[in-house]
Amino acid sequence: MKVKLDIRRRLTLVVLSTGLIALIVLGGVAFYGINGVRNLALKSAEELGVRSALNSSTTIEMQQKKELSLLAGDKATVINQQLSTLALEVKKIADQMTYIQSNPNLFILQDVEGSGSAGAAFYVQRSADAFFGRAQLGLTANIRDFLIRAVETNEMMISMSVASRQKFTLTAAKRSTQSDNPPIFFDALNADWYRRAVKERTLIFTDVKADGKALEIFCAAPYFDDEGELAGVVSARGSLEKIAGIVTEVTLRDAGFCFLLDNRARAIITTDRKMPSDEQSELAAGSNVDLRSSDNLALADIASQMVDGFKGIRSARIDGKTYLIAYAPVERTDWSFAVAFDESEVLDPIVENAELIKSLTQKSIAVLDDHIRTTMIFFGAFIIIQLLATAYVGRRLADHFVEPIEQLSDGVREISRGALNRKLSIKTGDEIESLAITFNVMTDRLRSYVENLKRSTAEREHIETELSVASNIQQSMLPWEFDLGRSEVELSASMKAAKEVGGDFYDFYLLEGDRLMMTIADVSGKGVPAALFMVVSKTVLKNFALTTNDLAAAVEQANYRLSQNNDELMFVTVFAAVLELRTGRLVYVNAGHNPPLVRRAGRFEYLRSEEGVALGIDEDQTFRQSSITLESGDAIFLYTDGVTEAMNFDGDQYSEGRLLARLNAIDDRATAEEILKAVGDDVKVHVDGAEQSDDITMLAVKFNPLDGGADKM
Amino acid sequence: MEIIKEADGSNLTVKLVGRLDAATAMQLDKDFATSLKGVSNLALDLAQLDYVASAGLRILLKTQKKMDRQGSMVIKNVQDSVREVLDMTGFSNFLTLEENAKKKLQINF
Repeated sequence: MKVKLDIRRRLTLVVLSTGLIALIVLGGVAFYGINGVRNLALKSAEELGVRSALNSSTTIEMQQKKELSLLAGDKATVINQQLSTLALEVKKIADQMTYIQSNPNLFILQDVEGSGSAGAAFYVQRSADAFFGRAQLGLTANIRDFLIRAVETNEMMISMSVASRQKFTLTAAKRSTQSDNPPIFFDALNADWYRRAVKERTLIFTDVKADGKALEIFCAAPYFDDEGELAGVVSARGSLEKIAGIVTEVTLRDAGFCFLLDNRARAIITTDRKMPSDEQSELAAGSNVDLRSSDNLALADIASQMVDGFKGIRSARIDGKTYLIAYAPVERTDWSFAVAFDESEVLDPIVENAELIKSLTQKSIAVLDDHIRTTMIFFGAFIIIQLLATAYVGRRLADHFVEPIEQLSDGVREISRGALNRKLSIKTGDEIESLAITFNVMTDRLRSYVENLKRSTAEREHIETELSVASNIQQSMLPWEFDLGRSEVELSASMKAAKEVGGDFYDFYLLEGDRLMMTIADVSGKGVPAALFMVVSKTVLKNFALTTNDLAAAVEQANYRLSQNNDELMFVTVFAAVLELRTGRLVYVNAGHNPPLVRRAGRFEYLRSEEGVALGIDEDQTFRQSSITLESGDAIFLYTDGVTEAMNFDGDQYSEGRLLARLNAIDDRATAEEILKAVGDDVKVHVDGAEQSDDITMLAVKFNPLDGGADKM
Repeated sequence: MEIIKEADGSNLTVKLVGRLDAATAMQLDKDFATSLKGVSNLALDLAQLDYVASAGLRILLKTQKKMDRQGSMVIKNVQDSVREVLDMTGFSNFLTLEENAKKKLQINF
């Protein structure tokens, strides 16, 4: 379980950390980028704001100045036009008068009496000391209609007069509601306009005069007679009401004012404005002050510029306030018109504009910041969602990987409990599936192996059982009842097979005529083949021993039988002996077997005999028998090579010498059984636990004839 | 037991080293089943063979019989202990031992 969780956790962790790293890197880059963009945007927005504020301030200032200059220029032009129209009328009448005076015979003498027209009254005035003739007056009267029409048509015109050098004056005056009283010009020749026109012999404008509240100006021009002598002066009395209107109609939102200077820098008209106190304005109209000599140097400078006919715009402090002053000349009269505007008002929009731009910049920065913050929040939310999704996907992925592993481990656990028929069914299409397939193959092999093992175990058990049965059969084939009912002999024998069944055998039985047949044999090899051959050998030997009186013949016949069809070349070494119980005569044949030991006169000795050949090799083999005679108390010890060749761990054989020594160390009175046991124990001591490699078979016979029966022989 | 073979054309010399008991006899039997093909003169050198069991005797006899059909076999340098067994069992009569090669009896199977 721990491992499973570990894999799941590890996978989740890997997926999560990979995602996390990617997101952190991405997020870092994105945050860095966004932040950089933000800083740049803020910086450039601020810079843009400042610069555009500066730019637009300059633009606005220039615009304002331009507008002021244009305004000043426009108004000056209008004023100039008005004055020029007045001057033109005067010039026209003066020219007409000169024509009349120069060509008196072209005109008839007019009656000067009579009233004017609907728009203008007409007067004739004479000085008390007038010296004119009737003809001169009548001639001059030809101008009457011109005068009346001029007065009627010109807006500025209050009246127009022709003042003759001969001290009479013809006047046409605009009819007005105020007064119909004609202006008296008896002393026209002393009027400043007359004197100046005579003196300068050209068209002149007088200074502005104030007639009560109304401002007036006279325009005058001389006329001449046929001899070129001065004959009189034509004058027009113009109202400046219209011009004042023009000046005052300039609306400056209470932030400025206009003023008109005459050719000597005196303020003619100044827009009414509220003064902070009752102080006299520096630009009060009609104060008759030459502004060029003002203490206000900036104003004086501007006044000089204006009088000199320049056009421009300057800044000056007037009445405690700074104004921007635009001025333009009125050429006709060498006047100059100016528009003054509160500089702070001019600059206010600039400041406002700057502040507006600043606030716009701030606002756009705020919007930008807001956008960036929103983006950041969205991005953060996205990262969190992404992380959750990654965790989920990682978990799912881990499940996806771990589930088949769990299935696999569950299946393996079942299989390990012995469910070898269990098949793993995992269809993931990856290594786990191939592992499952491999596992299935392994389980199949394991199952067939287990089945084989079971089968072979069963077989082996079967064989073992059979072998055990065979061993029992073999043991039971060997005579185990040593009491033959004959007191002359005492017998004991043993056969200890190296395997379940052995190739050795011993045998003893009584033959006709009180004879004891004893045999010991060793079949080549060990195990089942040897055992089979042993059975055959034993049976054949016994068969012939029982039917043939001669031992050698019986052995020869047995040899012949055993050599038949012996393709495997199995053979058996045999020592066979027949003891005549009544005489003690021992007849024996040794067919290739170890020489037995015989105890005679208290001593064991090897019974060497004719070299015989093992049975089963040569069917035509002949055997010779030998004989000795035993006395009472003598004994014979038969054995197979399993005794003398029994080996200890060092590979040392028990040997014939040790066997002989051991037998001779045994008490004469020892029974056959005791002899067997003594030798067996000694062999056991010698091998000292080493594995038995060959069958160990022994047979001991002790000869004890009744009442010394053997001695009688 | 160790089986050392030296082949020289159709002559084969086999040295047996150690003990020729039931187990090694089977080993030798198996070996000879193939290695004696095409051999006409087999020499068994038993100088270092310390022990021979009855099963070993059987293989020696079987080999002798086989070699008598396809050529010849001679057993050399038999140790005394082995010689005793051969004599005791009468096998020395059926095997061609170098020193008494001429005394050998004819075997009739």
